[in-house]
Amino acid sequence: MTGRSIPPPLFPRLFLRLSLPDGTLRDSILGDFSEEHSRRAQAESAVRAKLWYWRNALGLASRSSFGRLFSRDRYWVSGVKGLPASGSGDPGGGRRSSSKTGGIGYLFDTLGHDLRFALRQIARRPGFSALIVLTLAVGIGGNVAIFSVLKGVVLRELPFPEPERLVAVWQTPPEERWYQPLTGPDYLDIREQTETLEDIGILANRWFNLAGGGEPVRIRGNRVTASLFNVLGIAPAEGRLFTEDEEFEGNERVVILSHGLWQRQFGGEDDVVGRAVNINGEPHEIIAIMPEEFEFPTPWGGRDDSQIWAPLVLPRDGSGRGSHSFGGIARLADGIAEPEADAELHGIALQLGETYPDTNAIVDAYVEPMMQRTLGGISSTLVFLLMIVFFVLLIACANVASMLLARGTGRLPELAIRSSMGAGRRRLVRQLLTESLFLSVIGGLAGVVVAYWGVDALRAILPDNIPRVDGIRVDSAVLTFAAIVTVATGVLFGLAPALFTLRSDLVGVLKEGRLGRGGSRRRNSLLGALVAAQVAIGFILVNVAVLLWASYLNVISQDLNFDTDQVIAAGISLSGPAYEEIHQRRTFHQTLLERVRGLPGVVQAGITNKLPLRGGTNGGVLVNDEVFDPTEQYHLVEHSFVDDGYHEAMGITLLAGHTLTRADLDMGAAARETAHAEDLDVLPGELALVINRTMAEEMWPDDDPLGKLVRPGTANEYYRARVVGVVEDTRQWGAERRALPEMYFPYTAEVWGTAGGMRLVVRVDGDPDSVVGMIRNVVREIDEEIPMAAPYTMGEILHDSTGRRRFSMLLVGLFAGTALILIIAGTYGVMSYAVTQRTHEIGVRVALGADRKLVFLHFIGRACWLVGPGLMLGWLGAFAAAAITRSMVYGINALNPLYVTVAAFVMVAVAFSAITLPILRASRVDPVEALRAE
Amino acid sequence: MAARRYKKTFLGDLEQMILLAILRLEDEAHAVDVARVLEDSAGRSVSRGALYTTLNRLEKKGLLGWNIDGGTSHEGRGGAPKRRFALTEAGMEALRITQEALGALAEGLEGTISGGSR
Repeated sequence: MTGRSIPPPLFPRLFLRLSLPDGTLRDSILGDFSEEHSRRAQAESAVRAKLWYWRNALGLASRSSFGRLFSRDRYWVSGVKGLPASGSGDPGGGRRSSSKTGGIGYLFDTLGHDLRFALRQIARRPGFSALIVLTLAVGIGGNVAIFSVLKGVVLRELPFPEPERLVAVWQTPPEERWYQPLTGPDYLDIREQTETLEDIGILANRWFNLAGGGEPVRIRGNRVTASLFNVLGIAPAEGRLFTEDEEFEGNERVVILSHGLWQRQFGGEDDVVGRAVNINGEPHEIIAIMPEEFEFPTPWGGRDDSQIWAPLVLPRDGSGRGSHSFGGIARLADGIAEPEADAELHGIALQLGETYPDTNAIVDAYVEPMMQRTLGGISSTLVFLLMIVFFVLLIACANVASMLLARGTGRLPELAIRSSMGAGRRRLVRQLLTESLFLSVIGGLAGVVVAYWGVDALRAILPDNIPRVDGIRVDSAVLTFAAIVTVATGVLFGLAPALFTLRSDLVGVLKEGRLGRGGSRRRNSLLGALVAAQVAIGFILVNVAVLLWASYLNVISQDLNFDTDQVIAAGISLSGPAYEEIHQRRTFHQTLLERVRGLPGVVQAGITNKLPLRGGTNGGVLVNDEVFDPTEQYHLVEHSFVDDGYHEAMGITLLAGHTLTRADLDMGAAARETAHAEDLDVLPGELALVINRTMAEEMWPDDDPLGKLVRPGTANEYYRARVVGVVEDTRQWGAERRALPEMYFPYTAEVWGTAGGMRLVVRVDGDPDSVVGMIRNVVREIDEEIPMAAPYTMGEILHDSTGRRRFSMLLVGLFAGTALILIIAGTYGVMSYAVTQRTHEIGVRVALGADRKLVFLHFIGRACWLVGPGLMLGWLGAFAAAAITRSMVYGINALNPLYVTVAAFVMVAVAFSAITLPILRASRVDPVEALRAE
Repeated sequence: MAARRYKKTFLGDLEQMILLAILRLEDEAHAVDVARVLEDSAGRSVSRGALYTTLNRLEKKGLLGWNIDGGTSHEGRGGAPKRRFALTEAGMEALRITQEALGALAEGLEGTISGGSR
């Protein structure tokens, strides 16, 4: 045998160590195990040796009588044939004996007893036990499911190296924290000067038309600087990343594909890198494919479904310094904290303000942790939901505690006997806690099953704009959470019955066969407290559910001022050499609109660069006689670019003047053509302009807005537009944010760059689905290379924009409903128990001539005592909870007594349904039956 | 209450085997070696749970004793003490009684037993 010692497996060794009493005996057995393990590892294999160790160590440790058998070290001293006296042993030191009631071995021993006993108790009343397990499974499962969402979305790090160093970079007016995107030239200056940022990159969302190989597709992607991937620290799965040379005009025809796009569009073929594809009408080389797990981070918040990336070409002549349009992501230099980066960016911004006063006089910059940016407000929603579902678990605990307490009274004689035979109170309490823990472990296991199912269900109803949903799963961290919740639950619901037992007069029970007066009273008040707690927590939950439900109704029933059911929208982007000239784009759009308007079932069609509720782009404007001053912040106005059919197609009401006409569009086109031909950076003449109600009221509160002049709030007055009409407000940034001032330009003037990416808006008078196919055909007939994105109705856009609210409302409603069922079951149980307990007494009273009505009233009073305090507490709790709910309601006051009253009615109804049956039973007690049963 | 008195002790088969193995191993009767002898000579593979509880039971019955073996190889034990077992007088006696009883019972059945074996 060689002398090499191979370390035995840690866990079974530890287990063995714990299960043996202290002393020489333990050490020698552990030594034997190690020796045999080493021998087997060398003679057979490491795996077989480990298996042997596991099997034998667990086998030895689990021998239930082991603790007692090995309770004492004994040295053999004399009288043995042929055995020399020990030379090396230290009899004194080895003689430490573990007492019979101490030591881990003993603990294991009694634990085994308790577990077996608990199992018998559970098996004796399978229905009762199943009810408890089910209650716990719902409570624990709900918590675990919500926690897995929280963990996958919020608690998981961003999937990049050293993610805590990633920040979003924003520009903003001084002393503010706006999310103003960066301009190209400012980005180049910041990148050159910064020392606190290791690197910075910028990006711009774009649609890409990918043609070749069947139907052309419209794909969401980003144009990015080469530095952006460097900032993220992610290498492609195959190929190479962009180089800085590719940021220059003429070199930019390269693309990187996502793993998903590669699989879908190219069937996952091997030789895709290096291949040319037709993108936006021009050949591009595919230079890389990103890894499957790569999630493109977005500084815009929510989720970015980018499938393709191309280089962002930046003019290097300093043009575009007023145009804030790029999202910035940077990596902080090693050891740099955000405030240091902020300070440096502030310094750079000041200096840029001095150098370029026209554009940068009032532009500051700052960084924001990328994690915070990615999550937006979702973390607070999820934490709130976890809080709600934790309340449900508390109710479940109170529920189970009351069930155990009521049953526990029935077990008091048994406990009393055990106590009289020498079991200490602590021992009895431990027995009861073991039973609770046993139940909670079964409940926890069932809860994990519920959670697996619940996570799937949650994924299905999660709103679309929640980021990082791919990370939502029941993994080891979630299971650890489940284990902690399970144990905590077991202790929580086991504590009340166990402590009650601890303080009960067991001797009295033994003498009289039941609890004395004091014991009964204490038990009843404990049961009452548990019911009160359930009712109070339930009240708060129901109140929150009512508030969220009312808010949701407010959101979806408010007047949005556009038609949701009969209007469909679809994105169409023009790009490539075929659409380089203004007249080419104009011809496409005109032909498209004319043909679509001619389709059967189509009432009106129009185009726009953006849709209501889907965000927008804004800029400063000058009105009346205002003069440009670079140190002033001008009225920010949303800019829309539409045609003459848009407002009618969308169903937006005209309030004054007229909407854009064909002549307005022609004039816009002419202005753009002239500017282009003569190389002007100013549009000649005046454009027609339609504004919304808010803009009219804010800019000309006491005046007629029609005929008023609007100019851009920049040094260069690149357009002049005159108001020809006022239309009703539509909300731009979601259904819950008020409408901002907005103006509608003729899209033909291309005030802000080329009208490539537009949305077709079609109002139909029948089923929208029936028209979609025809529209698609029209697009294909005009140019089969141009893809049309899948159309959706404006109703679907509203549905998306209210997704988070609906998600919270549904879940809180579900949890509140679950809580109510638990409360009904719990209160019913306690009330029934109270009646059963007093059946004999009622029998006597009725036999002696008591009025049944009085019995009925007595129990009504008892029920009020049971439920009343819970309602009072819940009422107060609901008001206290308003501090949190205030930020979650919409269009209502969280403290409005109306909603609390609704919740109170629900709770009273719940209580009533729970107590009716037991009380009816009490008032119908037959005295003969009751006394005979005694 | 009857006074405590010693009576004839009969041994179970594992107890006998273990005591015989200890005798056979003489000065090298450590738990590890006992298990190996049982496996090699008697063809009986014993789990450690069974081995230690039986050793412990025999010790409690006063049939064997142990001391710490200071002289032997401690390879692979990480310095842990090694117990060396030996039979007590009572142990020898119990073994003898059991063997005799078995022998008496088997007397005259040699042909039957060996005929039934493979």
